[in-house]
Amino acid sequence: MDNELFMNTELPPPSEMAMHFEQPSSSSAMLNWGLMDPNLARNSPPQDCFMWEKSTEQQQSIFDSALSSLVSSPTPSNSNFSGGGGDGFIIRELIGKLGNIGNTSGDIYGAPMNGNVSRSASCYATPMSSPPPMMNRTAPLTEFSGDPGFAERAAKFSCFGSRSFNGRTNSGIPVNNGKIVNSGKLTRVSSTPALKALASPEFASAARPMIPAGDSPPKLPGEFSRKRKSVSKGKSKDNPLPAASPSPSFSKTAERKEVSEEKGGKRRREDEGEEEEGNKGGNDTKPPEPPKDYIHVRARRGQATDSHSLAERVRREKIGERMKLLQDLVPGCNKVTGKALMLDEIINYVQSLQRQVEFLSMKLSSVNDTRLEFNVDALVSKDAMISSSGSRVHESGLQLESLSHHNYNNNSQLNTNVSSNNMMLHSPMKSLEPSALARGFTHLPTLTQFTDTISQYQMFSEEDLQSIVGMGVAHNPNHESQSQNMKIEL
Amino acid sequence: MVDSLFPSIETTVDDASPESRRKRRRISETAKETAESSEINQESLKRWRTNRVQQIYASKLVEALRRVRQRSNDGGKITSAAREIRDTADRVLAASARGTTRWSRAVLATRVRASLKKHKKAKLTGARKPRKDTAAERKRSKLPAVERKLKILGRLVPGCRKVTVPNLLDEATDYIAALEMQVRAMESLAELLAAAAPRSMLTRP
Repeated sequence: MDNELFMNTELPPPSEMAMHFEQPSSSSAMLNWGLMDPNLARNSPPQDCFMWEKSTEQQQSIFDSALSSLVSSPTPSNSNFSGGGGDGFIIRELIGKLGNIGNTSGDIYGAPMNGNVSRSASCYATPMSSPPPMMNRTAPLTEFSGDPGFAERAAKFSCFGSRSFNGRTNSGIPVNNGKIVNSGKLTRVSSTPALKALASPEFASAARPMIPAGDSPPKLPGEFSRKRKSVSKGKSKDNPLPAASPSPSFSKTAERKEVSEEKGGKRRREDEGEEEEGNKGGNDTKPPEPPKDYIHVRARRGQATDSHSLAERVRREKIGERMKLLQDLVPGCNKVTGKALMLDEIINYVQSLQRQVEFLSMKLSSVNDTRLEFNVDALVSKDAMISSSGSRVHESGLQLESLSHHNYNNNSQLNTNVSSNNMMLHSPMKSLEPSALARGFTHLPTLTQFTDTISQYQMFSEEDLQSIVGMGVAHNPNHESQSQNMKIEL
Repeated sequence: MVDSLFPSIETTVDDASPESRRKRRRISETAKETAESSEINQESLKRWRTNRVQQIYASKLVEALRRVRQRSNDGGKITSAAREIRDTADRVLAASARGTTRWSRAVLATRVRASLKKHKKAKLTGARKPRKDTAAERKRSKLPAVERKLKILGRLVPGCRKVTVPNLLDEATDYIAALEMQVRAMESLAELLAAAAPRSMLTRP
């Protein structure tokens, strides 16, 4: 796609460029126009000029070398561009012209501000008048002439070039092309104050000259940013740019600007965090470090480092942790494996617990009718003692528990409840606090009602039946004495 | 390192849409959760297991029951329905949770809602159409078995119908622990009361 851009605009730019170069007089007008361009205006042109001037000396040697390489070797540069052969030609032409200009005098660089600005402005101006692809042509000259942080950007954009510009691996031209694209788009993209704010702190470290070009990477044309975004998304969890932090910040800012600032920023920052983590110690086991806002997760060895799969893995592990806790809580879940079966068990357990509560509330209601007031303190103290006292015989606990069910008035209704609850009560007794229940049952009520309700407990387990039968058969006074004995023991 | 580059960016983004705020809050929540989830769960489980909690619950329950009984007695009713007692017990249980869990808040809220609804006119309940369980529906609904079960679990735990899966599991954990404590306390209480009651029953003519 970007090849096409370069291809399409072979002819017009050179002519325009020639025109512009031949008419420096018009440059002043162009200068004004360029200055009035919102981006440039926001960039505070004097700043730009300052930067350009400052860097020109630095750049000149680089520029000259680049020019010489370009001029001397047309074919290699041609071969570098799979689809941008025409572009290379044009660039070489332009560079040749520039080279003449540059070589003749450092005047161009030492030229007054206006001259520099005018040239660049003219180059910028032409894009304004011409369709976007043309800007790509014209920009390189300005980039060359007024490129402040040339060396830094060259390094960075070479990485960009290797990523997003497939065929262009050479540092010289791709950098230019990258610059072409970026700076070309500079004029077109409308920069918002937010973006400016975003841009400035980011690139503060990268030196102020970066700002004009720094704006441009974020303001990539639609296709380039899209491409970069897709590329970065695809490779975000692999080893991304090995370059310094500004380049990831570039790509991230590009993406961020493209997407909504807030959401995209968050996502990218998260990705960045994850990326960096992955970069630093990608093969470590995952310690979920609690950062201020984002979950930094390390990709484990041999696992996919895609952002989606990482997030999914985190989510799955969270759920797995909780299922394990539930497994410990619900009795009988140890043998069960798999979420569905465990959930079945959990649902059954919750339902049984709720049924138990209902059952007990019914029991309490029957007791409530009789006596509640004066026994409160005693009950509470006894309850306290019961809870804290030592364990009781399990068998006696079973007996007492079965006996306790005799007190219900509406026995028929409780048949199923009792059976089911008895099953459940036994298991909680065994698993939770058998001692507490056993202790609770030491205070035997009178056993006058035993024989009435003995028939209910046919669904009990064997030992229960034996105990019940034993109790039922036994004489009442025996049991009473027994209960009294137990009470005394307490 | 990257974060250091964007301190101002974050501030600029801070006063962004509520979506981002919610997202950030959720992310920070989950971050905290991942760091302390196991500890939190174990703590919550432990707090429902202590004897002290059980005692507190029992005493509170007794008092509540007494109040219920008084109220019913004053109203003329003598028999307090089992449902009332169960609701009372649930409320006391939720109260002892100190509002940290969603189900406890829902239990306490339902009472308010129920009392409000009592004053309103009873709506027609026949408006709900019973769904004919066609084969296609059954096939459709059978596919995400785990999800179906999670929904059932959500219905069981009060106030957790539209809750995310990890939160639902957390709530279920706490709810199960609380229910166990409730069962234990109520059983011991019932026993104590039953022990005391027959004496009075015996004395009655």
